[in-house]
Amino acid sequence: MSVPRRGASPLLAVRDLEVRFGPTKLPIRAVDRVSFDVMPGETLGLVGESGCGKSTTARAIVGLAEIHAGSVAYEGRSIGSATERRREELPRKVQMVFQDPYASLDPRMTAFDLVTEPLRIFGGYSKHERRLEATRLMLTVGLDPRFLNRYPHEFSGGQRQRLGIARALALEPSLILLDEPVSALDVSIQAQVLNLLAELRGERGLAYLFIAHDLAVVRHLCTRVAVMYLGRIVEIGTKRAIFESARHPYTRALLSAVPIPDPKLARTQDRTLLRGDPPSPDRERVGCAFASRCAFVQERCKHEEPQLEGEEHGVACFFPC
Amino acid sequence: MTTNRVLDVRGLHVSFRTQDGVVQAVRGVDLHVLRGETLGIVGESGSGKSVTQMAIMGLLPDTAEIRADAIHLDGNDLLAHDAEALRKLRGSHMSMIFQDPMTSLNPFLTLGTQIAEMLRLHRGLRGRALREAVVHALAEVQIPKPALRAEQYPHEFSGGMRQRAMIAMMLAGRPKLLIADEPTTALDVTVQAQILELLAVLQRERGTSIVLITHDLGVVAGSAQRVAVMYSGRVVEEATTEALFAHPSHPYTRGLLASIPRLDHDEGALQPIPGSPPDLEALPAGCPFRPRCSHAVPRCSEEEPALRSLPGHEAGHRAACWVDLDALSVSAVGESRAQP
Repeated sequence: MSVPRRGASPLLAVRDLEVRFGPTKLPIRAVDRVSFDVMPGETLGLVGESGCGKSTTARAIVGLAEIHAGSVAYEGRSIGSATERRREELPRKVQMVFQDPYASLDPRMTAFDLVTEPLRIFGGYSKHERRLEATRLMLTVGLDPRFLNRYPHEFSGGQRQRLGIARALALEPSLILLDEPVSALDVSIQAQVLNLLAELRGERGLAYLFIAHDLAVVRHLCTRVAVMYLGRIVEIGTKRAIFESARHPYTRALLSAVPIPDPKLARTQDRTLLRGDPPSPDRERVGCAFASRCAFVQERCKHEEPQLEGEEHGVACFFPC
Repeated sequence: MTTNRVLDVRGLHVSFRTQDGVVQAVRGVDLHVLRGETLGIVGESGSGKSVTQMAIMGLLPDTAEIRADAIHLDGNDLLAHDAEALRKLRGSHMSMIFQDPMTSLNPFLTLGTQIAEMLRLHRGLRGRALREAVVHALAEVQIPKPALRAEQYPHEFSGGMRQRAMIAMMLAGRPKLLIADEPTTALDVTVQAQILELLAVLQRERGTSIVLITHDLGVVAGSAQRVAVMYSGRVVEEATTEALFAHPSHPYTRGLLASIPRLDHDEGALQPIPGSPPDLEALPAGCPFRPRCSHAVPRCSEEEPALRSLPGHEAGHRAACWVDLDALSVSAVGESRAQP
């Protein structure tokens, strides 16, 4: 998996995406002018703390959140913008897997129904073909096809997430949006699902937009990473750039806050403790969103908003590290 | 009982009667916590880590059947205490904080009122002294503008601030032991770092002993002096934090460490533990980890191993396993585990 070459055309292009919630007078800018590309076969990690807009970004891409401004294009064709609603035309090639395998699967549908529902909706499959396809999908995600008649509650958390993945694979997508796919799972099960995702990517050349708050998981799976803070991307770059030479003070603080499972390293870990919580996104913003918690804040940061600058490694900071 | 043990639990069993039968949630747990130390308890859902602590606190519902050889807290024999006597020990001798502070805070009362209740009950404070102690308690957990915050309701606090307030409340009675059940799991990583730091500072200042229940091995590595690893209602390994991470001896502990992605370096493919934890209503015969273990020998399906000291390891390092893993290299463990 390498860095996407410039010039190659992106699978997914998100431009100046804006999603607002709440009253029009004092909106919450959940996603605020976010732009990025996902190239074929790459895994872009979208990281940040709760409320930073990472899940809303994914939901806007698949049409589950209304786009206020900006555009989303798949293979150069618009699949969503503020003016046109083309939700029904969301290509089959873009699928999504949700965080909570307990909440995202209909408890009254059997594994067979769940896994083949996309095939039923998009038509063209006989019952017999769906049976065959269901068996194939179950095997692909490491589930026993004999369990096709079972209901979600008869599966463990890890197995349910496998069902969610099987469902997403049914239409042979080229891009899957994964919204915290392993964070509800126990540690020993997380690794099983992460390995499955890596295998599927290798076998099928899938691209992922991988949303997670667990940075170690992101480092493990992603090829590129975008860091969000208060609705904006503050830093974007290759895995190496973000994890080994992060330039935004927020990215650095975020990385230093992750506990390392090694007592020797944990003792010597250089911690940058952030003060306070992220400010509320409903305030009219002047200056850099991170200014109130930044250890390196200068006068300019309070009045002017830094833009994301840099080609391969983008940073939105006037005084990057 | 050794005097430097704040908490000493021996042979704790907890079972729940359900419609489907009896669930044995805790099956013979021995634990102790030294004065001023943090004991980390690691385990996955259903391992019994929370139930163990709820049993010590006396917070389990009536459907729970608790048996133990001994539960001593700071010189008190908890088994000899009735519900009322236990209630008096809660807050003054032992306190517990949970993952979601909202479940333990009353949404209709200001934070100040709730902290005042603890101070009145356990330290007998009244009037102005009480009001000052409330503000002081909030200030101690580094809540800005404590006098103003004391007048506010839980919903006016952020998640991190709520957990701080909760800590203030639970430490108000100066307990010897604080049980923290996944105290930072619901929090963002930057806020988690603040809360763990706060707990460490308060512990240094007051010598409070802490039981830190977590699924996060990183949290344990940074905060605990000793660790107990639980699986299927039992402690399967116990060691100082250093020893546990440097020489994990139970196949489950090794499996856990091999299955977590690391932030500090790139690893190859993760080596997950195959299968999933057993159903507590239908535990396999012998060692409960056997169906997932790649080192199992015939004895493992006949007899459940007890926690025993490990020759060649530091004193106090114990594991419940029939197989001598030291005879096998760590890489051999990894290879045999490669298949998901």
